[in-house]
Formats: sequence, C-alpha cells, structure tokens
Amino acid sequence: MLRPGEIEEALEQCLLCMQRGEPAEACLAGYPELREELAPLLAIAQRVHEAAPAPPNAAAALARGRERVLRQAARQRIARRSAPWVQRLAGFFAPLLRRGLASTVAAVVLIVVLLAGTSAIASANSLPGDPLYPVKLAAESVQLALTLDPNSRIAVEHTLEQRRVDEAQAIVKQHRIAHVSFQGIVEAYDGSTLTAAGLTIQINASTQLAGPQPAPGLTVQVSAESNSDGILIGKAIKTLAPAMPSPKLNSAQVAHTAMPAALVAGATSTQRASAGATPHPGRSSAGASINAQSSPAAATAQAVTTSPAPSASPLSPAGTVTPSREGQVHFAGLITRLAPDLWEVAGLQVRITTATQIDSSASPPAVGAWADVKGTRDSDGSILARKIVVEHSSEPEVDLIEFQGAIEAASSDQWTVDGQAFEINSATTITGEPNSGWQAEVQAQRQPDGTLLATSIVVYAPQDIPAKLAGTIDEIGASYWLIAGRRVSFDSQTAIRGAAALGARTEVQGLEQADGSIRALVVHIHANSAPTATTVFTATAAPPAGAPAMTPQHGKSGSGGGNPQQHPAPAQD
Amino acid sequence: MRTGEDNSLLDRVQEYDLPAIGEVYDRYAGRIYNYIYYRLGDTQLAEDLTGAVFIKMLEAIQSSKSWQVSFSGWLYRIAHNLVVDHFRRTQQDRAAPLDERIVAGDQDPVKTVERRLENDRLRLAIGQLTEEQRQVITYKFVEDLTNAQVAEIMGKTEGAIKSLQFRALASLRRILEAEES
Repeated sequence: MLRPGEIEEALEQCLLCMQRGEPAEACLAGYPELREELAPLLAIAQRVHEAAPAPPNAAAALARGRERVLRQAARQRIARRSAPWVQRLAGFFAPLLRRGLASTVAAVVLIVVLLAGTSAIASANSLPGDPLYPVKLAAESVQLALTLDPNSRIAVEHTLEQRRVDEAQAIVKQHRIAHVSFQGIVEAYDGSTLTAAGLTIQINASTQLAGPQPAPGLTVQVSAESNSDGILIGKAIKTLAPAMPSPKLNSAQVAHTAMPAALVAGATSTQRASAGATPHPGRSSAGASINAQSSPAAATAQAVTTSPAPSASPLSPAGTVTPSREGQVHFAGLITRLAPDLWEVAGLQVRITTATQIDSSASPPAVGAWADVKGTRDSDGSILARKIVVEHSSEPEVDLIEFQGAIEAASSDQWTVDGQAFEINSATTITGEPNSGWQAEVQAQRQPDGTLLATSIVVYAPQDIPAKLAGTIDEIGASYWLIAGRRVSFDSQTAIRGAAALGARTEVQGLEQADGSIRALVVHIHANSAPTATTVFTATAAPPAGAPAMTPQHGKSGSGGGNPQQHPAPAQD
Repeated sequence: MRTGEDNSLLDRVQEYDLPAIGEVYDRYAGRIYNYIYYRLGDTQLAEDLTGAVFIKMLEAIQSSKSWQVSFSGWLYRIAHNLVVDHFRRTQQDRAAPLDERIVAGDQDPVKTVERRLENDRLRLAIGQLTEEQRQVITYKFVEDLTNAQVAEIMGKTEGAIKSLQFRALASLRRILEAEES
C-alpha cells in the first residue's frame, strides 16, 4: 500500500538520479515495486528533454538588452537623485496602486493638489509603464467624471485623446517597451502598415481589425505594443464610424465644400505631437471644425434658421465650412489673420466692429489660436461677427531633435555637446553637472533662425556609465593594465578573479572615465588562457593609491598567487 | 540559498548600482531569454521581453519582498507573467514548447525525419495537457528548472509541483500510448 505522495517522491528521486547521469535502470533499482509504473514516465521525461530545441545564439540580443537595461537604470538613478521626494511619493503609492480604490483615492488627492495649483507632479508627465501612470489615468477619469457641462466634457475628452497620442509618440521616440492605446485619424493604410495620428503601426497576422477597413480620414482606435526598436506593433485596431456633425450646429446652416489646398496641406501635421505644442485634438491645423463626413447642407438658397446659442466647445474634426449665403452663422477654426477690423478664421473673412463681443478670457487673440465665431452673413457674402470666443492658442509646431555626446563647453547660455552648439535658457531643464567630458543627452528645439534651444539636458557622471571590455592583457603596470589596447585602472573596490598574466583572456566590468579609460569593478581572468612562457605578476607590497601592486617576475609561467581581492566565481542559484 | 555576496549584490541593485545590475543581468538573462523563447518561439519577442523582465525587476525590487525568498524564481515569475500577458493580448495559441524546427545535428535525412515526427507527436500530446501540466513539463524538462524554482513561478508548494509533474507525465503516457496503439 503506497503512502500518499510516495510515488511522486520516487519519481522525483529517479529524475534527479538521471540528471546526475545515471541510467534509468540504475535509478529504478531503489524502487522495485514501482518500477513498472515509473519506467514509462522516466522514458517520456527523457523524450521531452531530448526533443527540446537548442536555443538560438542570443549573444547579440542579450548584449543589446543589457545596454537598454543599464540605460534605463541610469535614468532611474538620476531621476531618483534629482527628485527624491517624487520617488518617495512613488514608492509610497506603489503598493497601493495595485488596488483600484487606492488609485482613485490617490487620484482625488492628485486632483486636489492640481487644483491648488501645485506644479511638478511627477505623474502628469508619466508614460505607460511608469509607476505613477495609473495615478495619472485615474486622475483623468476623476476629472472627466467631475466635468458635468457637456461642452466642457467634450473638450476634456479631446484633450485626453491627444494626451494618449502624445504619450504614444514619446514611447516610440524613447524606444521603450510599453503598451499604448490612442485614437487618431488614418493618414495612410496599405494592409501591412497603418499611419494614424502621425504614428506608423505595423499590422501582422495577430493584429485584430474591427469595423470598416481603415481608410484615410477615418478615425481608428489603436491598441499597440512598442518594441525596443521604436516600432509599434498593432494588437487591435478598430475603425470607428465616421463622426456626426457637432450637435451644437444645425447642419442645414452650412454647406460642406472641399478643403482649400492650404488647409489640406496642414491637416496631417497637426497630429504630430511635439513638446510644447498643443495641437487641437482631432482637428486639422487650419480647417474649420465641421466634420468632413457630414452630408452637404441645403443649397445656398435655403433659408437658414437661427440656431440656439451653444457655448463654445471643441467641435468634430474637420473640413472647412462655407456658410450659406445669408443668415446666422456659427463656425470655428484657426485664426490665420488678425487686423483691427478684419480677422480670417477658418479661411473666412470675418468683419469686426465695435459691436463684436470678443471673449478672450481663455486665450488672447493671436494667429494660430482657435476661435469660435457667431455672426451673420450679409448678402455680399461677408461675415459680420457678433461674438467671437478665442478658445485656446495653438503653439506652432516645433522641430525637436535629440542627440548625445561628450560635453565640450558649457556656459550660462550656451553649451556644446558632441560638436553641436545650442542655447539654454531659464526653461531648460538641466539634470546633472555640466562638467567637460561628461556624457549628456540633449533634447532641443530648432528655432526659426536655425539655432537650437535645449529643452532638456541630462548629464551622466562617469560613474553612471557602465563599461564592459573583453580582450587579452597587453600590459600590466603598477596602477593600471592595458587590456585590448584600453587602459584599465583599479581601486580598493576592484575584485579580481583569476591570476593575472600577459596574454590572458580577460573580461572587465567597470565604469567609463572621462579620459576614456575604464575603472574596473570586476576583472575576470580566464584560467589557462595565457600563452606559456609568459610573465606572471603577483601582488607584493600593499597597492599604491588603491591599485593592485604588481611586480613583474620574468621567466616564470603558470598561475600567480596572492592577487588582491580574489573572489571565486559567483554561485549560481 | 543565497550567499552573503549575493545579498550584497542585490542590495546594490536596489540602489541602482549599475555594475551590480549588469552582473545580475549577466547571470540570469541567458536563462530568462531561453525560457521566454521556449514559451513563445520568437527570437525578437524573446529579446524584447527579456529586457522588459529586467526593467520590471528594477521597479519591483524597490517595493516587493518576494525576491528575498528566491531571486531567480521571482525573476522567472516576472518572465512568466509577461509571457502570459503576451498570450492574453495576442490570443496566441499557447503552443507546446517543442517547435517545428528540425533538431540540428547530423545530416542523416532518415534520422532527421524521425526526429521531426517524434517532435510532432510529443508536441501534439503536450498540447492536450492542462495548462498547468504543460507549464510544469516546460519548466522541468525543457528549461531544466528545479522544483523550488517552478514552485516559485507557479505559486505552489514543491510538493504540489511533484504531484503535478507526476500527473503530467502520466497523462502524457496515456495520450502517447493511445496514439501509438
């Protein structure tokens, strides 16, 4: 009679025995009464083990992954140093964020703090995959739930939609691995790639497509994964039904016409987000806000009824509008010209008189701002504005570039990194010390005059940049070695595994120094890798200034002894 | 069991000590990569998710204490969760770990075909196991993990893993005997 678990334990012991290289029959000798049942199971285990394919050579992949991981670690380390209170906040919330309720509570707190006007809340800039990103999303949900006015709610929804696009673009630009979800207007689709909201998404066999086939002009909801190459792989793409015209406008009042060429040319650039730019969610850059899909309104001869006066709100994406010949008009678009008595909005001339109410509480009138216009159209076709609400301004698109390299010069208003000069101002975020020779990552905007203005600079101290080196020992000096032609220095923390010998194959892990050398942290010398009849060095006196002291002993071979801080190979788990 | 040196290393990882992080990566990345590759059969995915495992490790090591029991098991669990997430997102068939590639080796065409057929039989049979049985077969006989590591990944006791292992092999035996008869 078998005890509970006896046969399972016997199987386990036989498997362990076979792992030691013993034949199955020998392992089963200890369990004669269970042999008949266990033998077939051991044979199957062996079959599965032998059928397992050899893994591919992953050396290059692992090397790329190592660099990515260490760069991410360096960023997190620098971020923690420069904003410790934020990290403590993140650390405090991290366990709570696993529970949805806590996220909501945290989000409410965040809303309160935001409403109080506090800036520099880390979650506001967090991206998918960041610790505070759930707080950001929860805060947005709360904000949306608290927005009761339908018009304002639409504005908030559009803002959040654009935020998702901005986040996706940042994820792609930073080559981060994350899941992104956003909505955008299709710019191109050829079956294998989809371009929407300025982002290109790869379509493969596992991409789930829902709704009508994507086509330029249609809106799609995209769920995608970004990989380390900055490529978005589509997971699910749903084509949304064309949006109806804004409920705030009576479509009988307007007639749809083709967009002027100038407006069409600007349409696709709106969705390309860039730092500082706040493109209008879902709008073309210069077009008016009537959905291009709306059916043409009644002909110009149709009488126009006066519409109720809706509050200003963002309207559906775009085409231009040509109001009918006479009567009330209501439309919105970008201000492209400003004169004391004449504006151009959505490509239409709008006359301004002393009776025109101009609401600039949200934003001052400016070329590039968005304006909601109510007025009347005279028989000559001109539009007399009764009320104009300037909703918000649109900052011009900026040309962002990123680069990195060694700091060559740094002054209060100009730096040079990797041969590239650029300006800095009070808005430039600088993390780290501007020390010559240190590595810096720069994000800058190209100004109209062609110069670069840095928006963000991250300086890496040498000790933040890991280095790895493999090669033979070419020279052993008193305070440094030459390995693969590169100078490797030591200090009291350096751990050396193995016996140093000229010509020995060696791997070094350490930190980049400003002079291009490596300060070794771990040195692994391969045993028996040195040529015979070589020079072996052994430690003699105490090392000068933290370096291992080596005294050449000519004419000897074999392993030396007494190397400082020798460690055995790391134990495996 | 971790040595004092391992404890020191992981303490330094928590402090974002880059050489320590590099050393941890060098120790475990190869095994994690193989594990993910065996589960997904895609080298690019394996590369991407391997990096994601260690980046998640950097985040989670700050708050979680699970790694103090078994760091490698905890790391495998992160990898397992990422693989499961991938399956959920792609609704990919959670194929058996044996792929269709011909096993590299000698060029004897007869043996090659025989190996392929054997692989096919095994793959189909493993595909008929329950999800947990499939996992333990992969972990134990493809990945060569210990019971302790498998227990950590699957959130079970070592005793439960031994039982699962027995049931999985017994089920495979029944399936294969039924097919071969």
